[in-house]
Amino acid sequence: MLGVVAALCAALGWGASAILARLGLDGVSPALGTLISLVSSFAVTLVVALIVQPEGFAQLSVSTVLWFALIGLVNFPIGRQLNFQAIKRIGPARAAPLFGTSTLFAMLIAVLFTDEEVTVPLVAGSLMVVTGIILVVREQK
Amino acid sequence: MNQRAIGYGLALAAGMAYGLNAVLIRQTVSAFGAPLVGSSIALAMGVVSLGLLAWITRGGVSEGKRLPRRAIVFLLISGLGSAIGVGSNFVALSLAPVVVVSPITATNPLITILLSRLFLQRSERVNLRVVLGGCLVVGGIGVITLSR
Repeated sequence: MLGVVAALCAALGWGASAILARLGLDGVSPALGTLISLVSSFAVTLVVALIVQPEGFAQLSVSTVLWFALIGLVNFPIGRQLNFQAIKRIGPARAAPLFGTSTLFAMLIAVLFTDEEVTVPLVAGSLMVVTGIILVVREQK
Repeated sequence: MNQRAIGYGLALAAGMAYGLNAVLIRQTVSAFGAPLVGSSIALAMGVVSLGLLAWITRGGVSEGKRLPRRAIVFLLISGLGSAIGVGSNFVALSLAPVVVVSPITATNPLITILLSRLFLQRSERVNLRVVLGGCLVVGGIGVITLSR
């Protein structure tokens, strides 16, 4: 039950974050908006990590740090900034379903470059995602 | 090309970046047992790289001096929301299996749509098509996740 509550908190946190970003991006460039939100995320995450997983910092190796740095480069200067650029142009309600395609892209990358197999549920789920995107993108004015 | 089309393209590109990131995270975190520490490093890299970019272009620095306080507050809280999302996801995955957690966390687009309807009525029109599209995307993600 606690796990379900935590998962709901995660969904609420991410969902609300997009709305707050939209409110904050009025008159602010997405690049600077991304930086400001990242500072906040970093501060909170670092404090929680120091409290909950302090031993993790001692276990870091150079290669691990470099991998996480790469993840940071892909996720934040690229991913979150594209996220904010999209929200500023089309609003969070239309952008959020398209961000949700990340699961689909992750599966496609995994199928192409790892041992993941193409299955019927994967194809069915992908079709649902694409149909949903088409509905959002092609809405009439 | 109009702004709307660019916006949709950017949103899809963000989805691709996040998808690639999910694969990278899966490969890295499985070998390293402290995801929050890894998140801290990734976020630090994000802050440093974007800060450098703002400083190099000078645009961010001059813009930063004229930012309305309201915007800063909203953006800081937005960052807090993201951090809560990441942290809660970590807690959820430590307490419940992925097949339970992932479909729930994947509903966040629907929460965004609902909150848009409640708080952004003046600037954003949410109609049945957008809601149905969001439901289909979330449903499709659920099918993909539960099939693993």
